[in-house]
Amino acid sequence: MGEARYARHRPLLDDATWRRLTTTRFVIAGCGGLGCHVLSSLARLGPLTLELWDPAKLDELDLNRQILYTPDDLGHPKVYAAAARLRTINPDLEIAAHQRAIDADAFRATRRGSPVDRGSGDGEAGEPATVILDCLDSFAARAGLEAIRNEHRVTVFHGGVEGWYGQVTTIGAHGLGYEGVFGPDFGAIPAATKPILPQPVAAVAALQVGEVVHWCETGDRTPLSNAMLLYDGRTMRVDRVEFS
Amino acid sequence: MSVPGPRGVDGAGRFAEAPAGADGRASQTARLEVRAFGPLSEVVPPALTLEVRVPTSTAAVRRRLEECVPDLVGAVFRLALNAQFLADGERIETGGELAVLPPFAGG
Repeated sequence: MGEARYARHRPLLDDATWRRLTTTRFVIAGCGGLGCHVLSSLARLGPLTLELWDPAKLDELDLNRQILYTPDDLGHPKVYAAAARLRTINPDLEIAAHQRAIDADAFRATRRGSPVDRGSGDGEAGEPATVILDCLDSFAARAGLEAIRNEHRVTVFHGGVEGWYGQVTTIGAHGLGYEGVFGPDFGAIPAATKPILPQPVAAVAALQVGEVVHWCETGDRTPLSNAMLLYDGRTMRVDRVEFS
Repeated sequence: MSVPGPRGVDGAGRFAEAPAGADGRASQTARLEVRAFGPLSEVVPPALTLEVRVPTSTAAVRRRLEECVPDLVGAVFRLALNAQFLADGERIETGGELAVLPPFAGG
């Protein structure tokens, strides 16, 4: 594909930002609601390198918000259905798919020769790095991301949604982790059981990708590196709360 | 809904100096306007205001909140005052908007 497909946004990004965007490995933890929206948006940003993790097969209940899938994908592993769809959106993507839950052991096993060893926090602009987009559906699973982040010093772009609501923050390679943001018992926070509307998912995922672009520009000094955005679809309010 | 503290605030809801305590120093009360997010907004009454003696702590405010809204007992949430997250042991010296923030776990 030609560069024209990126021409509407490429002028907004300087060369160093573009280089970082197109050389970073984006690990998508979870290919459900948030993951689909995040992937759909990232796939349109450039010829990116995407690494998909999700153990699940597509269920009919997923179709209200998981925009990469169609009824033809029911019963199929999400990561492979998503990868196939993404390749139709942008054939220049580099995609790896892992049909399993992401945790420290599994992640480490896939890192041989990967730029993750260089972390993501303080790298020079353009240096290959790895970052994680947290699109998981439970804090128990996020405990695995905390371990990965602590071991490899990678930045994590967190999103969480439930019902009409959602939250977004960026957990830098250094500084506050999940424990600092959500409390020492964050891994025991109950999983979401309430229904979920499609639009909070889309809104939160868009904000996560927005943070990715900022990270490509500024490193770990993103607008949400020390703050959380709270999205309230009931009142259409977005609030920002700072960490001390 | 306003829940009086051990010392009152004045009629306009401003901080009011309370009588001097046993140590001879004046203590004050502060007004915390509670705003709950997400599903917790369905259990916390709208316009709930707490009056607390300051200085106080995050833990004391949380206890006070749970006394006023028993449905919060056992709920997972963090508190923020004037758009700043409060750490568990943090000292609170002023009033303002007290946000009750549950985490959203889904993806």
